[in-house]
Amino acid sequence: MRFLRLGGLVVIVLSVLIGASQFRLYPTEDVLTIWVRGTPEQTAIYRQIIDEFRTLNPEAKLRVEVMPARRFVQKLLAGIDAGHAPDVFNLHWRDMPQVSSTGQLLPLDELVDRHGIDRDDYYPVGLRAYTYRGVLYGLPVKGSTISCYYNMDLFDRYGVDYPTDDWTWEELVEKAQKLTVDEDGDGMTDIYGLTPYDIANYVWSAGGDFLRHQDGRWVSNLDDPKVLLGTQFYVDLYFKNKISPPRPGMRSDNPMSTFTFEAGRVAMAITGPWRIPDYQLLDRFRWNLALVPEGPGGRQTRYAGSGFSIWKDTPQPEAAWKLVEFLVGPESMAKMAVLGSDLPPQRSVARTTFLREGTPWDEEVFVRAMDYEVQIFPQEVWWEDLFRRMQDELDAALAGRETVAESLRQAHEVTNAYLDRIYRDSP
Amino acid sequence: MTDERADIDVDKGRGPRRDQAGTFTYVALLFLLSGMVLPLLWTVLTSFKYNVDVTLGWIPPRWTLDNYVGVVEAFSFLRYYLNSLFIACAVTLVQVATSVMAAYAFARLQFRGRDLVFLGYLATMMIPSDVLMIPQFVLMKKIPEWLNMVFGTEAFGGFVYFRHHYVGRPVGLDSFFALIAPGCFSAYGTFMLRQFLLGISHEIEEAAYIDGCSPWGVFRHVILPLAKPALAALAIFTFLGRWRAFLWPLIMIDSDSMMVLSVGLAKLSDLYSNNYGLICAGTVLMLIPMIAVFVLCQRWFISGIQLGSVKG
Amino acid sequence: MKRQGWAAVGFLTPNLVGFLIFTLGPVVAAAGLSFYRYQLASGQAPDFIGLANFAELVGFDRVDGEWKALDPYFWQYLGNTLFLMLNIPFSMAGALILAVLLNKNLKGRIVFRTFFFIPHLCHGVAIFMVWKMVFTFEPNVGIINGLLWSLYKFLGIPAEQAIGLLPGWLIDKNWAKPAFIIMFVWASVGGFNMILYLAGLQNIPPELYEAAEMDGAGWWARLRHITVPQLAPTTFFIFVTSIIGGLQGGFEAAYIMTAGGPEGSTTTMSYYIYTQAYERLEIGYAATVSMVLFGLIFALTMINWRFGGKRLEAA
Repeated sequence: MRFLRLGGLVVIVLSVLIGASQFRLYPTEDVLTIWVRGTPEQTAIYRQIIDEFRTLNPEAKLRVEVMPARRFVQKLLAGIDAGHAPDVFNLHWRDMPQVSSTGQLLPLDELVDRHGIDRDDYYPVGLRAYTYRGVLYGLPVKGSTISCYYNMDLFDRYGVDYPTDDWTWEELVEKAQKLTVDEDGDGMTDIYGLTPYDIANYVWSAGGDFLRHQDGRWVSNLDDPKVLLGTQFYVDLYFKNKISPPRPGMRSDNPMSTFTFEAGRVAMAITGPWRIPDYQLLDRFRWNLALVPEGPGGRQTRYAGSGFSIWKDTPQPEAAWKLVEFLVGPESMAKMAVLGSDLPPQRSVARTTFLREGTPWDEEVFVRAMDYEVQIFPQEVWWEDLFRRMQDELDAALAGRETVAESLRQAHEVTNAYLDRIYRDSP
Repeated sequence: MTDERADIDVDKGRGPRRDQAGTFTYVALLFLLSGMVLPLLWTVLTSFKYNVDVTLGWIPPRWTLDNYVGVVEAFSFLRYYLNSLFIACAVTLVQVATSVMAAYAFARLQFRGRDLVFLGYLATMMIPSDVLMIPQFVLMKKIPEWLNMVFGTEAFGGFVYFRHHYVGRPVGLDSFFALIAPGCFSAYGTFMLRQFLLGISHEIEEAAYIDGCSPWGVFRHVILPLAKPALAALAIFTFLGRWRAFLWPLIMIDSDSMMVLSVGLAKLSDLYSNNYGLICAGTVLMLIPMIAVFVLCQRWFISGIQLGSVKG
Repeated sequence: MKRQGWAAVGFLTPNLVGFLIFTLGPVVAAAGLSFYRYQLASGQAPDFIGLANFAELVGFDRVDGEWKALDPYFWQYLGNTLFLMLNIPFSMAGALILAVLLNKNLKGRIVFRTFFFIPHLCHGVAIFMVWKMVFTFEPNVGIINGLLWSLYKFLGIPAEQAIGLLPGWLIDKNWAKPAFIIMFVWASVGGFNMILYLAGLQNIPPELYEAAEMDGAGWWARLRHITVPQLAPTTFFIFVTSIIGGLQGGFEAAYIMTAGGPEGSTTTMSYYIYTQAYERLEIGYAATVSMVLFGLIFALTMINWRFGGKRLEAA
């Protein structure tokens, strides 16, 4: 026993010594750190792209780290606060206001112009999402909007016509009502017509918006009758028409319910191209894609995307820019598009690379959807917080406790009180 | 001597029938148990499903091993596993040791300001970690700078490479030090063991003092054997806590070479895309050491009284 | 008893040194932040504003002859958090009973204990997903409502009426919190608390029970007069850690199951601190919320210490 212990000790000491002889110290400055995030498939492709960059630029010392999406911003901000941050990093568009408001991102306008990036080729909403107070702080690497997935088998079974490009809200409700069925006649719905995505798309498509600019500041726009129209339509889906499965309030996107499109228990699902990698494995039914229906205010949907930004204090801004330029360039976009879930941010590249050969569904819908109004939320630090509170007020209507008009009035007051407090604190 | 044998012997020695479980106990426990295994069942079954089949009921319509392959390929799985294991074991060993010593002082020794210091310990447990993170991060960044200043070197600040692989810094952010050192000194463990030691009767201890034992002797020969069940409990808690800790390693560590499994699991999903099949496969693989530690530590759940008096 | 100062120093040092560096330092800094206006990561120096953060957080203002909270969300979320903490007494009692049962001499005891501990080993996602299914409103999917539906059918209530009688577990603001409490009790009853009680039970001298049995004390009397008082220090620990966990917890469950809805009824203080610190970047304000929470936990602990813990410790 004693002998064993001694032997173990010798082995440990020896291995430490041998190990230590192999260790080397590098100065911190010349290594460029990149943080990427995404699904395992996406990050694997990012790694490929960066490897290619390495072979093209053998002098670059790169350190690539994959970060989880969960609590990513917390990690990033804690790091920036202490002066310890990556040089280049992936940012989701909804995190942009938070991070860019700190003033810790490198402004890119001058670099974009100097390197001859064609701004006009980019979908304008993508650049808008990465602009804060008029300054460009990032380049989108992907950006898309929602469309409507529909279950062709269910449409056939209940004799409903497939959606067309010019369909309207009324047709949406009419189709969804026909597709909301109680198959076994026990009084409970077995198939729902529609999961509608979040309320913002309906408020916008009605021609309204949540906030408006007035006297150099934001004020609530919830008293606009168009907002009432959109909200009423949205709430009716759940409460009056009962064509959408009940959900725990507006905040929740109900990620896990048994009533899902993929389970064949929802006939139409409005969501983005990020579901394609999943849905392409479906073999239970045939499905296809359509544009979302047109509302009274046209077809206005929400943007979703992600991009790359550079830390202001990076020791090598030029090298960092070179990398970002490569990451969002057409060649790397072509690699990304193989997944089917990421629409390239440039119009020309999206048209050429996103469409894959031999897919039975109409993937082009996601490209066409970008040509209609695509909206983003106000680029303000407080927006997410405020939006949650608006939705909390509207939940009363969703539960049928109040009328939509009444809950909107409440939300209007809450919003203005919230904004008053914001502008009182920081004029 | 195994746990089962010890207890059976104890019961036979004492004789009373009350410790024997009746049919009612079994029925009640089995009923409760059926509800407890549901999440495990769901996890295991879902780990064999494609993500599109997750919401389709409990039994996978198409069985697949893709998720397990996917988890192992998604990141340096083996390295994360070993890192997690190493960190959890190291923290557990040191934390239990430091905690039981401090707990002994708080519970059994008389000294000025004892309750005040103890309250200080208690108070630090009450600050939410989200805010605490910011000063802790700054502290971790400063430690190598301070060390460099004191020793007049640069050795604590630089990156360390092993051949071509980045292995982090010696101390400070992005180092094993950051993962292990702060966990070794825990107010939670101290508090827990103190409460447990308070429950041990004073008589044996006083007898030892009369025999001329020093405080260390009493600690070593009386308190430690009696505290075995509590030490086992703390070991379980610490190991599980470190094994599953997410926020601390996420904030402290940047490098793949030091990353832990719980963070790796979070890397399987993006904001909109949760691949539940993958997550569940990862969870199943993560469960194994936890169950092992839990079962192993239960061998120490022997009546401390019995053990103490046998030895004493 | 004589003073044992030097021995105490020796025993405390290993823990105290690390504690002072890694815990107390940051805690003091975090407490200090609550007196500053500090925008996280903005690169600007913190701005000392005294007690203004506290005034803003817990203050009231008279508007149109009505007292209005300056930060109504703090009170709403605090109320939610305290309501959700109602699970604590149930969890504690359940853990104690379970520990007593599992301390008996039963076959496969380790298997039983392990399975009761399973909820603590599983990934949170699995637990919340399963409970989401259990609480689904539609009786053809949700387990609880499915049972209720069959019951209503058995009683002969017509379908249209029966739907109205089903609880809207996660979709109604009045039912969301009870649903969470049920889930929390279920998840914690076989967890750490049961393990602690089990460890504590090993310490009770068997002679106490034997003496009580001679006096003819029944099961309940033994539990009431021996087990519970003997476990008092453990109970104090569980109480304090549960209060801490309760006031600081709930983020994950709410995030996955309801995202804090419906009508904000499952948003807890930890959610609020997180959003203040890392969404609004008001780290000073978040520190203030933390300090108020700290005050609450500390007060509750001291009350328990004075009126419960201390007396038993002296025994």
